[in-house]
Amino acid sequence: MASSYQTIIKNAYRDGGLLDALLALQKRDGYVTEEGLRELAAHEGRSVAELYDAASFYSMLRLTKPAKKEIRVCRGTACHSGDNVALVAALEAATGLKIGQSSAEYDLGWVECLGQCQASPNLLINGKLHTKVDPAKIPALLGGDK
Amino acid sequence: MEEVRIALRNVGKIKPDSIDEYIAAGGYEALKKARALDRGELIQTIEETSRLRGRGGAAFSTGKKWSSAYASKEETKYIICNADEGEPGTYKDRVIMEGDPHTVIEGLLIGAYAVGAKDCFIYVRGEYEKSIRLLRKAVKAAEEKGLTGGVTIKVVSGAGAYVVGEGTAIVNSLEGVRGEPRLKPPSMAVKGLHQKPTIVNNVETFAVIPEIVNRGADWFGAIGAEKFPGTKLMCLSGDVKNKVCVEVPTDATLRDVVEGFGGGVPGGKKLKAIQLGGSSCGFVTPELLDTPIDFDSIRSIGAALGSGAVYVIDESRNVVDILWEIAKFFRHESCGKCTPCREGTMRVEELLEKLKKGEGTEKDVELIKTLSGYMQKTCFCPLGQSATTAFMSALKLFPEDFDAKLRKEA
Repeated sequence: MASSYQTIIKNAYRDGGLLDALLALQKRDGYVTEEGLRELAAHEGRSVAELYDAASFYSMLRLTKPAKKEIRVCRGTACHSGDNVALVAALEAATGLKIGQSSAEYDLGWVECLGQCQASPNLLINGKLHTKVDPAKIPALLGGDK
Repeated sequence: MEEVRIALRNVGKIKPDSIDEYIAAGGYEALKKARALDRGELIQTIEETSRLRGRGGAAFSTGKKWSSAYASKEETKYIICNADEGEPGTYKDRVIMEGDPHTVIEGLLIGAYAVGAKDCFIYVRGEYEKSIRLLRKAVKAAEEKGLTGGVTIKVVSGAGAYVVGEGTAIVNSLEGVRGEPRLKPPSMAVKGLHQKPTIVNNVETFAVIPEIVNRGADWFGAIGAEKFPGTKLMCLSGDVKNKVCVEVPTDATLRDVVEGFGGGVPGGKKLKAIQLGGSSCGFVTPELLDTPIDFDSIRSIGAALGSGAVYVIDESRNVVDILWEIAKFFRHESCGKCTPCREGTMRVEELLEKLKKGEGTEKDVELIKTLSGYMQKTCFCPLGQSATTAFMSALKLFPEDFDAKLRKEA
């Protein structure tokens, strides 16, 4: 059973701050739910609107229900040199989406430089880092993470 | 040319999650030494003898920053370690945090003692989960060994926002609001987090502090360039054989880094340029590779050391393609607080897309130049002010790349 919102929030504040709490809530439900945000607002003594305002600023935080698999391709200059164009082409072929689009199954988008420039091209699948990705192995990579 | 490892002295030699190995390697001795010193004297040696300047990009005197917070009569002061590494092509802070988290913590504790701060924060970019995990473990271990001396260190996660790497935005983010930059003055050292004096230093800056205290400010001040002594971490990426992060004395040249450590361009191709300092900085062409990497020498050739990112570009690339990637980055990362940046980065990206695709004209290039002028003068923070630095640099250095992309009139 998933931990209660208050336990998650308490633990997150023990270790870090507001963003840790929001990321922990997202980990529990797959995104930051309205209920989670209300519990957090109660804990912080701030309004839900204020927290929504802050949360909506950060690209790692999702405020709507995500696709089953979120794929984020690094678009740093080093990954550009590492041919992330071929990587995106392989991902578009495998998912039937164009980059920037999502379906119930996949959400295909960009992420800014992941700081793994020594091992380009890179991508994240549901937050998990994959480096030196070979476009030919995309179907296996997507299948393997099911 | 050999590496001189100060910030990286333990990386690869000790287990990053073992405080005992860090201590066995001489760790936390500097903290003891520092705590036996007079605070004012400690700061003075760092300021005047080591002449350490910040490694995050601005190269401001670390000692000066510390002394202004030390001089403040406010009882509450904060120290923040800026670990929100997000400049494209930069991964040096990650290498330090993943390889030797305790050196960051020791540097931070020395800083806290020097300025009289009781609360420290390490603000780590959200994608660096491993760094966050290791740092938290390290903080806990230091607390259990009684090394923190009543100072609390919180390791706080970011959540994906490049602009938060800016010193005032990091403070807003820590206060739990949108990570937009604040107006300066007042400087952070006067009114920062919760309106209290706040020091913000980069990971690499904190990582060298223990060695400065241990081996002496004289020793550090004698390494490398006179006005920017010590070492600098340089991150190689792009069209280069060895994509590595190296620590070199600041009198090393760009050639030492690119050709020596990087092994040059692979595949028998020629070097076209390097982009030094990250996406917010300009390009350097091969004839300037004998320039030393210190902040001032690099500035004298009209470039910037920035974070120490070295993105290598070979002759096969058209720089306009790279500029479009950079423009997309800035459009995405513009926080939207100020109009010139929010609208400017969007228009620059649209115009560069046209150019990249061979649909642009001379007029589009002129439009970007005009926008760039407005943005440099009127954007609220360095993000917008430097969003077109790479474009302006490329236009000067590689006009032929633009010509090759312009729409051919029938």
